[in-house]
Amino acid sequence: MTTTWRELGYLTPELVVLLGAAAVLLLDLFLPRGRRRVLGGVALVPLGVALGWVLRALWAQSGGPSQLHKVFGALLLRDPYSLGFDVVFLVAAILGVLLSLRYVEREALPAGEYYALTLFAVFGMMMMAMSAELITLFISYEILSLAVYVLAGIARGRAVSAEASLKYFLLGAFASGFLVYGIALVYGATGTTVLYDPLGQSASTISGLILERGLFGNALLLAGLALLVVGIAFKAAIVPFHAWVPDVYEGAPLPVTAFMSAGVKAAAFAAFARLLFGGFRNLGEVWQPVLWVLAVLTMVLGNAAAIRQQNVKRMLAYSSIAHAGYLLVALAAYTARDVAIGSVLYYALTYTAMGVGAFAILLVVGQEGEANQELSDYRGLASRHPWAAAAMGLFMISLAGFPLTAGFLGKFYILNAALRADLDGLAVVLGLASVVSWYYYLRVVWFMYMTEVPKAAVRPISRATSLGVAVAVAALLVIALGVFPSTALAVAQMAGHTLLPLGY
Amino acid sequence: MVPTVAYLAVSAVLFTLGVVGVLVRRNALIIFMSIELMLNAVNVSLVSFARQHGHATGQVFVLLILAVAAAEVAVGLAIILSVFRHRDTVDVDHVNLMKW
Repeated sequence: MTTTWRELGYLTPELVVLLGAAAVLLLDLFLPRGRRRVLGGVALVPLGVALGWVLRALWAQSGGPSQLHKVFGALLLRDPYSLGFDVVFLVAAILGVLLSLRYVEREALPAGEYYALTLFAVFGMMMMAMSAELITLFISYEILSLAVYVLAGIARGRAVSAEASLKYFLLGAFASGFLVYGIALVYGATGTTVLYDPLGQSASTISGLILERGLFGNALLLAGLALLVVGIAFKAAIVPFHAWVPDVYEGAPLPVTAFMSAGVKAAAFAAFARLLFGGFRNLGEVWQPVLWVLAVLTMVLGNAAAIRQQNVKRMLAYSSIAHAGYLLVALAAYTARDVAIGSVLYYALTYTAMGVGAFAILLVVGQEGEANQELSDYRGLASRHPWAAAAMGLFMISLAGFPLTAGFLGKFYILNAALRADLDGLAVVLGLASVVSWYYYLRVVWFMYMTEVPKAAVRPISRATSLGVAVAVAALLVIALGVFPSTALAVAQMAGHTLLPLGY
Repeated sequence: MVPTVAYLAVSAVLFTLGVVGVLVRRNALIIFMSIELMLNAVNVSLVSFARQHGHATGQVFVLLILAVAAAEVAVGLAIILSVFRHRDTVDVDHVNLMKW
């Protein structure tokens, strides 16, 4: 196995992000304390370059035959699927950095570490979407996790941030213990850690060996698969492995929460889909009922808990659990995988736009030390700050899934996949869960538009340009994905087909 | 020669001890040690699987897990220290500013 420059070339976006992280760390050493604010701008450069490269690569393949390259043997796969998820991670990261520019300065966070860790986390996510081998998957998972544990606790001066970091770290490390044990058992049962071979050249992969040796009821393999699912379900915030989510999302600095809720979840689902539809596709009858149950639990409990929240940040945290449930519905629809995988990707992108957008408005309304995040702080926002209120309203109705928004189409495609896989029950639960979610999303809109506050109680909002740009970009994405979905959807479907067996 | 199953049994017992430790102990440092025990239990089974299959993949993975565990120690102890500075305790029952 020789690594050629050509193979490294396939990793261009990942390497650019990694070099960017190193550059930010080095610059941090040489810049005087007062000038470190430029580091945020420096961090945007590699993210932008990588996004450009990825979009160009996707554009070149849309319409034509999709290209698929193995990198480093078959450890990593550069396919439209990983490119599609890279778009999600990079958009989440760019929006996250835009949200941070003002915040990092105001809260006096260490800028160099902050942006470098963000870039390292993005690198981990991109590797996770590419990995087609379990050891590589584990290492990427840890690169991502370690960076995000620190980011959650980077506001060291605030006790809640340290506490969020501790909870995330302890439960995360616990979950990664399950993940490695799962990998060990799967390796023991099959003798390989390679998930599958998309080109069909090698049969000694997990997916190939399951068929060849008839390992369908092998206890070691099934136990390993169960532990793998637990490890990834934790990162994806799936009930009953969600206990950390509300506390970590509430305690972590707001821009980190925004980045985490979109990026980390998308990365977990990228790996989850590759694992289940790639490596364990022949065990679909086994894992599909499990996902069915997890999806119902996640949707029901996520929505039920979100209803009770008075703090908007915490409400969004619980609602992000519910959204993980919607994504699980798509994974459970494995008999309709030609549409299911594409709908996961499309929903991940729409959730990134609307979720990060909503967190951006929290930053606009919020004040120093993360004050002003109660529902009552949104009283009469529309009359004081009509643009902020309009944007928040847009993100809320999109999260609730109203027509002409990205959220509606995202849910529509997931429902479509569920119905084509004959999962009528799951589709009904998804519909009902969405209706329940209208209550708490529309309550925010009601507070903004239907209530008034006395003039004396009016509080200022943050008017930083970077925040405005982030909100505008997110809002444009929500509208564009909701009204003109065809290009994005075609690319998502093309990307999803990469995971299908040859000749499907 | 000791059969692979024996190693796997030891590994499973160690892993269970780790899980129980995480669930019942309240000191963050002990919980963290229990997590390390879980990782090392996995290492035992990886090495025995590698011997059974007759190739090195499992053993290479052990080295990588050790590296990851070392990185986790660095990050984890720093996080525990930063919590200790705020609360003067590392008991997770007392780390409850937010609803757990």
